[in-house]
Amino acid sequence: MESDVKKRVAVPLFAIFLLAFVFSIGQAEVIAGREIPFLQQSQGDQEKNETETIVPAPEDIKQATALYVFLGWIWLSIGVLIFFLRLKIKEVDRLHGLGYFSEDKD
Amino acid sequence: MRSWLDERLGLSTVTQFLRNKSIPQHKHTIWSYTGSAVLLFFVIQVLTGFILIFYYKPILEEANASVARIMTEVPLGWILRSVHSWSATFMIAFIFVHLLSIWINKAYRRPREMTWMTGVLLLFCSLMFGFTGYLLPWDDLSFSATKVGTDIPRAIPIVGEWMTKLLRGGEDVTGDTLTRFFGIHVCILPIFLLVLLAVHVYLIQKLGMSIPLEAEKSQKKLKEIPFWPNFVYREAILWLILFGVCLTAAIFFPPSLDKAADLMAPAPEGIKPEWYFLFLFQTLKIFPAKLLFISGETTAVFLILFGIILFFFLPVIDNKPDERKGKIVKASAFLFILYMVIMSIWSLM
Repeated sequence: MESDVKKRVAVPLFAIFLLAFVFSIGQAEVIAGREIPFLQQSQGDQEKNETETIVPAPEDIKQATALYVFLGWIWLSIGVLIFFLRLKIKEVDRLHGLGYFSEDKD
Repeated sequence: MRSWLDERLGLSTVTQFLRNKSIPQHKHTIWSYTGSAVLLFFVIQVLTGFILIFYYKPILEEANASVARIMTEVPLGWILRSVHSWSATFMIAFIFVHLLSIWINKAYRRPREMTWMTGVLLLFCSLMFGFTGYLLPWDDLSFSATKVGTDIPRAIPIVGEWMTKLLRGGEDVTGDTLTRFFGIHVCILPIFLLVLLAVHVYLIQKLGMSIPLEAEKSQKKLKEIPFWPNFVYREAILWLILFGVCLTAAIFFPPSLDKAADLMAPAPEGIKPEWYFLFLFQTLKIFPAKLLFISGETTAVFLILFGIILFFFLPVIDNKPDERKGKIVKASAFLFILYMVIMSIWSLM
């Protein structure tokens, strides 16, 4: 019972930690004032690009933050899904222990 | 709705089949999950590949520019390319882990020899995917690495020259090579891979999962769980985590793109193949130019080919897994891992 409560607390805490982590990365960029060129190309830039290496990254801090929030949501969704899957596993293991699936076999 | 579909597609028969299939639970069960992880990354590869193919142009003048467009103009194109690249890396890594775990646990023993052999062919197929895909961005590094890679068969007497020409579509790596590699990457290899995968999965279904050698010897009854839903739910947890890791890696460490390759330019410094070829690359590098009267490269290529043949026929060689020979084969797996790691690090230094 107690371990169940701990798990219920641990999953949201983990999700919050992840969100905080991705936000802090975004914030760190704001503080550092880092501008990552997106290398948006136009036809006129073609010649210039031939001598450059394209390092993909978000265009500006807005895009960067959006990306990190998206990643945060992905991890949050993964956390929630894992939580429900663990409950499902417990349930199907209990049913297997009771021989529910072997009855199906017959 | 469910009964409507069931009446027409017979879904309950499939569910029943999967439920009757059981997975033995033992201390090595964790390795069973690596196979499905490979499948997950293969699905990601196919899906991202489908989208990339809409934008990629496999001709000399356009290849590099089209990849640049994917990375700069297509919405989230750079993430898509990065996920494609990272899932390939993860897929090959998991194939290695999967095969090595089977080697160490001797899960290839009778009657699963053919399951192993199809698995090894799947590894080669995936390595070919990596090799052909590496050229497609057509930048300096991929061009030079392909030049080096396609030059290797030349060391084989009689057929070597022909093999190099066949791979390149001519004497040198040119636009023809690019189109050829693209065709192999998106058409020929997927057909081979799907056929091999179907045979591999069929053999797993037919023969079931292997159990550890000790349990087989003691004839101890192992605990089992149904494949559906108990095992699939557990696999789903791993898939979710791996998907998250792959996406995170793709966002934070996307592959860059160099300027378009110049056919006339000298090879750039520090040509390196993908990480999974590094140990073979280094093996070729350490051989001297001449070994007695034979070329060092020819000797190295033959040694590698000999190693590949041994690897393919491992279940036949290791026909007495619980005897002394079996222990030597197991020790050789650890030696191989050590060799791979040392040579790869050496190559990077």
